[in-house]
Amino acid sequence: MHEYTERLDATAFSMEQDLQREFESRLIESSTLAFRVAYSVLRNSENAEDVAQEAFAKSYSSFRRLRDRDRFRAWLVRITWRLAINRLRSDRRRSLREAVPVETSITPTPVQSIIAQERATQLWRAIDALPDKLRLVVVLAGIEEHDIREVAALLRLPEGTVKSRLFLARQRLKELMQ
Amino acid sequence: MKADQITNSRSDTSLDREIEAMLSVEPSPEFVSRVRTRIAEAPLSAWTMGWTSVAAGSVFVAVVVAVVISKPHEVVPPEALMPIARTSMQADTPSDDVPASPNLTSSKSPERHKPEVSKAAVREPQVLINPEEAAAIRRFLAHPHPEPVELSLVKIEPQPLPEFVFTPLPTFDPMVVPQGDFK
Repeated sequence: MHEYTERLDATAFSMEQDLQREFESRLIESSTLAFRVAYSVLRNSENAEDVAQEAFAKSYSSFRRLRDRDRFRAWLVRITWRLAINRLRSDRRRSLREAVPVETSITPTPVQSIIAQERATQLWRAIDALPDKLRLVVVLAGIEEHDIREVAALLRLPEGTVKSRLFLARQRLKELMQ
Repeated sequence: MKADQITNSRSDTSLDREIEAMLSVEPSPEFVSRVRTRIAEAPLSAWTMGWTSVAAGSVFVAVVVAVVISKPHEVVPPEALMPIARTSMQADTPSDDVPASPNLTSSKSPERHKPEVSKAAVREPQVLINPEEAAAIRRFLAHPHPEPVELSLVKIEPQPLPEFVFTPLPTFDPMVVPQGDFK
């Protein structure tokens, strides 16, 4: 009886270790994805990190049913997006967003920087004006150079749907940028 | 004008590149370690919370079910019902509260017997019936051989059948289709 319980304990322990290892690998490969999804909504690195961290914490609590890699990434994208939107809404309510400057990764010469920043601000505004469905497709296609197949896997949508949404989104963006 | 031309000629690829550049922001180097720390803080609470809540929920449900089952479904006023065990057997006794027991004839006072009756009533389940039914049973037991009913006195007169009237069925002439070109 004692041996049996010991063996059970050992099995449970090894299972936990396996789960920890798997989660660690998912964390390493998807941390940038989660961060960038959050950043696309919040436009602030600190807030984006907070949201991505929260999303990982949530994914950890339900990792037993998210062991499949594609499923995990799709779930992570969805939860991060939702958390980021919620965060943005609450920030807007507190009117803090105006105080946070828009960050850009492009930092060349001062004049170029100003032009690039202006253009980026304009493009972000256009992206923000898109409906959620189109916005998410554009963002995911822009992250890590995801192709249509990868975006479709992340959103659990048919490739045709993603293609048409991407086309529509580009059209709208061009219209808004004019 | 020039700016308009530039924006108009913006191709899909350049737009994509711009978006990619805007999104090529890296998290801080401590990000992953911070996530690890946060997760390490509550591994048990995260994974065992589910089981704990399920266990607590099932215990709560069990308690509720037990309470519901043990609770009497309907409260019946005691005067509306009377125990058949007493009423049927002591129909002619003046008081129903006193049980028909051979001990009554003894020298013991009725006060000493009362608690025993109530104890017996608690111990054994009583069959409760409607007072009207109890009275009927009482009457039946008081007169166990009622007079037989004379059925030969009841006469059934045969009823005449209604008169049959023949109504002929209507007849119709065959339909004639006119000749013509229907093309």
